[in-house]
Amino acid sequence: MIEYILPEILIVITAIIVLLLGFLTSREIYIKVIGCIGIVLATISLLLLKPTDELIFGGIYSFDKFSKVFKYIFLILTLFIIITSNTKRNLGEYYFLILISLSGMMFLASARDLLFLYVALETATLPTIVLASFYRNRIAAETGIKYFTVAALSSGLLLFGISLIYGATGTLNIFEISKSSIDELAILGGIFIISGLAFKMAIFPFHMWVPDVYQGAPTPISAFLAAVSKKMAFLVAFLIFYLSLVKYISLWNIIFALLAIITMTIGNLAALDQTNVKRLLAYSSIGHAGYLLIGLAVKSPLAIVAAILHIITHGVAKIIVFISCFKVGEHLENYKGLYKKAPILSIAIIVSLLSLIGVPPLAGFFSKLYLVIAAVSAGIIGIILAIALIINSAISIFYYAKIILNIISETNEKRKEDYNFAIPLILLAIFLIIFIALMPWLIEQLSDAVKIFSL
Amino acid sequence: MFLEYSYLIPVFPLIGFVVITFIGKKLSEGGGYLAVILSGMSLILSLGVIYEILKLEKPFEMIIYEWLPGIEFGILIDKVSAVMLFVISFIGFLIMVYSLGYMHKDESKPRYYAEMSLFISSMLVIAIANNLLLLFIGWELVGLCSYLLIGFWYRKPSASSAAKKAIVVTRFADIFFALGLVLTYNTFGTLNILEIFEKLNVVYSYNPGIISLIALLLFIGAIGKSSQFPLHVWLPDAMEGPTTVSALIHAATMVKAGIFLVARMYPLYLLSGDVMYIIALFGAITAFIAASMGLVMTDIKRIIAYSTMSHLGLMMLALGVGSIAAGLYHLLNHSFAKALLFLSAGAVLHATHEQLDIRKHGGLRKVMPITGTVALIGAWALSGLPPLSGYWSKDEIIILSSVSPELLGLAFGVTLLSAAYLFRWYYIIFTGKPGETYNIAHEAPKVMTIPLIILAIGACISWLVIYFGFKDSVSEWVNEYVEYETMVSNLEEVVEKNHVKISLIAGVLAFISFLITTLIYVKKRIKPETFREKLKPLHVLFVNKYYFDHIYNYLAENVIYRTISFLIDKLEKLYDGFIDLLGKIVYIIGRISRKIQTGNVQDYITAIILGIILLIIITMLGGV
Repeated sequence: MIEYILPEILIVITAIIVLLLGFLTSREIYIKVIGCIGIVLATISLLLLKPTDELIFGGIYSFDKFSKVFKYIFLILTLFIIITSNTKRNLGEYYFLILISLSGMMFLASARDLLFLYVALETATLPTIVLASFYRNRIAAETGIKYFTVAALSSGLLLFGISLIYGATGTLNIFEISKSSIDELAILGGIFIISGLAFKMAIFPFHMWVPDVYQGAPTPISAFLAAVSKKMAFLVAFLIFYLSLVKYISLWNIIFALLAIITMTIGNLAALDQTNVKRLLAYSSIGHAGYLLIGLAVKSPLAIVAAILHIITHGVAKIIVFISCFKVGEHLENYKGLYKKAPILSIAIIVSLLSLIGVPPLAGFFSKLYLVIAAVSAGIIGIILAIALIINSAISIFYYAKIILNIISETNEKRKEDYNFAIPLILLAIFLIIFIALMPWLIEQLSDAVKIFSL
Repeated sequence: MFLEYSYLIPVFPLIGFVVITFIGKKLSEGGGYLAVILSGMSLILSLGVIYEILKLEKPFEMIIYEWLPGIEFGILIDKVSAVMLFVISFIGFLIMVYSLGYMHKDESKPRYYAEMSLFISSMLVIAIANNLLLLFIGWELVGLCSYLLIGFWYRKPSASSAAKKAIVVTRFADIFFALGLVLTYNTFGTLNILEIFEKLNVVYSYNPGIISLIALLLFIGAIGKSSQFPLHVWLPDAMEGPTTVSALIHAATMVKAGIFLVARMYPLYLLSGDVMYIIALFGAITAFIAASMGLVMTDIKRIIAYSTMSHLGLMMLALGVGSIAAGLYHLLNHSFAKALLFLSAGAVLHATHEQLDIRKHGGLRKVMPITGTVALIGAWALSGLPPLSGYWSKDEIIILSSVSPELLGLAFGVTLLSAAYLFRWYYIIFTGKPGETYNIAHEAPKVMTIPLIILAIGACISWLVIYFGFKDSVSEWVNEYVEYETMVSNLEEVVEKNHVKISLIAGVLAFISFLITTLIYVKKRIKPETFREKLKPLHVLFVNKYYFDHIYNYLAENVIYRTISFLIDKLEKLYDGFIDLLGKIVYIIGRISRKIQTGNVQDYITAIILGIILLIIITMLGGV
């Protein structure tokens, strides 16, 4: 039974090694390599483990295909965050915190008990608060305080929601909740859970911390928050609302549909005249959170598959853009004439931006396409959602194109820069391009994985 | 053992394309040798594959990559693709070898060899594709390459406008092909060719109309590519490219793609009789008008281009009346003779500084003996005179056309004209008094004459394939999906009855026209001017190409362009106003949302609390 948490154990061991190594060496590359090896080993062990449908550890832990899919996503995206990170001080601490947060997310993917779920979620969130204020200057302190305050409140809301559900049903197991008789108390619990999760998902009106924190945090951490950490809340929402509280699914669908439309519109509109790329990307993340909510607003397996696909494509594209602004600079002017200075990196950035817009045949187009397909098959609300998504994608072209225009504009500066770090970004961009070929296989795997929901 | 590796056939030239594109300038002869070697490798592999497929009863299918249900990319090789495979790889290889001599002095050789390699590769994809989508990808790549190659000398305005014309006309047809694909997938749930055939009878039993529609849409795609009436206008202008390109586009590949598409989907066509008649009629019309235009042209390459169009029309005619065997038989025979004619024209142009006007040439046979002889063989083979290869397949098509009188009439017209225009071409260039170019002309280098001789041998003997069971092997497979033999039994009867009579008339017509042409241009007994005077209206009509270009230009300029610009004018104003309004709204909302974003964490908390209240209100409104 213990083998089912082998990947998590490997990650935690790596985290401890990295922390200790931080005292011994000041060469960042060693620590990064150790961290990467740990993640790769965990991925391999995950690859070798056969998924099982039975619950383990007294019914709180599950190692099914659904959790496996999310573990892969978390592991691989975090791997790229670590590769592209560059912090220069407090090395051990920095990578230790990322890895611990990763282990929290991986536990979360398997958690089938609300309390375990809560603990895992906190394990994943708390390190990111420290990481967000990692540079220890005035801005970092402000960022940290804001993030911590909002996170603490949300954590409380989530716990309150869980306790309400426990009060209503007398159980914390996700599967058993759906079997017991549910009353209005549980609905109230559901609403508090939504509020708690909405903070992580960056949904209106719980999104306001996002631009400040993404802008203030070290850029790789912003990427981590936007591409990886944010996504775990969707995982939790899928579990709770499609498994535990599935009885009131039509209510949740309406709530999420409403939030989806408002969130995507607010995010995209607010992004329009940002000149700070990190802040712009933060708003774009809010917009994309709105798209992802379609997975919760439309009750069909295809919607969940589409949402997971979008989690993947959005995560990959966001990492590319965030990391690029880590190296290039966070103001739009820094991007001027980038094409002359670093053509290949520029192509990678442009590919990821086009993918975020949803230009065929890039990855983002297909995940959005599936979201639309899933939405239109769900009646009038679904059609409104699909139209909202399409209009918002059109709006988003304006601000993404602003970055692209800056990249390809002429400049007098001729200096060539060393952009070796671009290689992982180029790999990710290639993934966005060849996604069209991988898609059928991915969809097959994902459709298999979402069978646990039996919708 | 070759079949398992058949997917490599298009891969070799593709490698050539990639390598030559990137480092072509550093390779000797601009990557020419590499291109020749790679197309040679794909020729050898093709020959092995053809040898093996001839022994197999069943088509060979291999799925390489499964993309979506019903769209599995892979390879399908049967006897029909074997014909196409042979023509493309064999003639493509010879043209590559010939190019070494022909393009020797050109500066942008790497671009030439890269594009030619991509062209051959994508044609090979068409030949061996196992599903219509893959075929379509090859089809579009071929269109792209023909655009690039026709406009190869892009500094010449006429070349770039010809390239544009070719791509616009063929793209117009491709739209219909794409629509056909969508409809096919919708109807059959698959684009896999063999699976479509298997479901054919079921679909036909409840919805025969949809099959006709699909067949028609695909045929319109084929019309564009194969330059059939009324979308034939691009082909003569396509002569602006290097002659080797013309040979590759006209003889071996691109224009054959349309014929191949109809042959590939033949069971589909057999089930839609009306479309079959349309194919036959359009084919016959194309064959006739092209031959008549060929009679009055003075451009050395355009005459052959019209001849190509005419022969493609005959192939379509054969397919349309129900004989896939005769169509493919003529495709094979025509390929050799036509490549031969183009490459000998290329040899003439190479020797005379690209002098395109045939009236400037004359008596060249004496200075270019090899080219002159092979050109005579080519002209002979296509003119419909026995015993070279063109005669046998052409004769058969004329006999087949006797199923209906209008087709037969057009076919006889073609016979009468084709001997005339081909020998006119030959006589003016190679015999008679020395022309302006006589003094500068010289025999082509060996690297060019050897492919010519090989092609000439091919043009003499390719008709012999009929004794190796060619006809049965290309038509038998159709029986597996539809009752082909019963469908065309009526055809066989007609053929049986009229065989000798029609064959004789056709032979006599061809001979008469040959005699008249000889009298005019060799014996000088009759002056061509007398004809021109007496048949003035016809001459004007032919020289102006039946006014097709005028009509299309008029339509494009006055009807389409004007309507669109009128609409655009009106819509633009409306649209501008709408966009301005939208922009204002967006801007206002954006400002409001940034106002909310105060930066105070207290306000954020307030928003969260308000959010919870909002959620609870929604829930209560939801009635729970």
